[in-house]
Amino acid sequence: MTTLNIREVLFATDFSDVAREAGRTAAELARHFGARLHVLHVVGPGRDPEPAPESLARAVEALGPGLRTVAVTASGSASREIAAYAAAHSVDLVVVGTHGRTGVSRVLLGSVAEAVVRRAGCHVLTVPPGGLKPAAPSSAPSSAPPEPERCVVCAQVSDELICAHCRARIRGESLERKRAEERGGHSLAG
Amino acid sequence: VKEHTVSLERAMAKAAAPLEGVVKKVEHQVLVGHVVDMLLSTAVKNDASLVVVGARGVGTLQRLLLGSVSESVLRHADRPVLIVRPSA
Repeated sequence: MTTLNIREVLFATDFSDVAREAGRTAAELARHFGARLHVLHVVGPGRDPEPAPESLARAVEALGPGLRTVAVTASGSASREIAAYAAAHSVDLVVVGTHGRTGVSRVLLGSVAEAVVRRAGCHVLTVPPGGLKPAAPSSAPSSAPPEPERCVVCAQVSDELICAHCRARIRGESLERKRAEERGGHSLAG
Repeated sequence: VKEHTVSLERAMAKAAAPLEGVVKKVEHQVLVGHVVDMLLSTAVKNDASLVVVGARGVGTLQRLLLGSVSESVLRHADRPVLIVRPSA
């Protein structure tokens, strides 16, 4: 059995709340493994990545004491730069924040975290709001009030863990339905 | 299905055996149903702090084709997901 050997951890941040959450997790893991923590911020293509913004220094500071950190900036496509940096610095684990279960999540997750997972050659940990703790609703912004039972995927009120709609979507049935709707739409228009 | 489940249970016990002693407690179960549904609902039921899934493949092409299960889990999970790559 192979053991998980984590010496270099890369935390990619866009300075959002979600990233901050992921940073906390990354810092905890780096401390646990005694690993070096690389904090990477990627600016848009063509923009000068130097000097590193003040916010990067603040982000590093927020990770707390007892860490060996390296703060870096790069410019280009976020996922590409993250994967390239990970490869160049023999990173063992990349930690990225995701926007959790809100409706916007798929768009945002689709853009960076998912692309990182596809591109990176190492382990990737995705951290939604709430972090690496038993679900703490206090840290999840207003999107998921705890009162009624909600679908774990879309957070809509539902008696089931995963509502029928999401289950259908996960299974790809929505694609078929959309096709059917489109066909219907065309026939109505025509 | 029942017969198959029994043999899978046996395989699971074998797979879990090396973990005994390494971690505090190992539980294993075989569920019948849609893979992603089952993974996510089990994670919620057990209040898991982390979901661990493997990514399929190491080659360049395979790297682009992240396993569909891993991808779905990653997209839909409301908790941290660790995507494990086979060591190069």
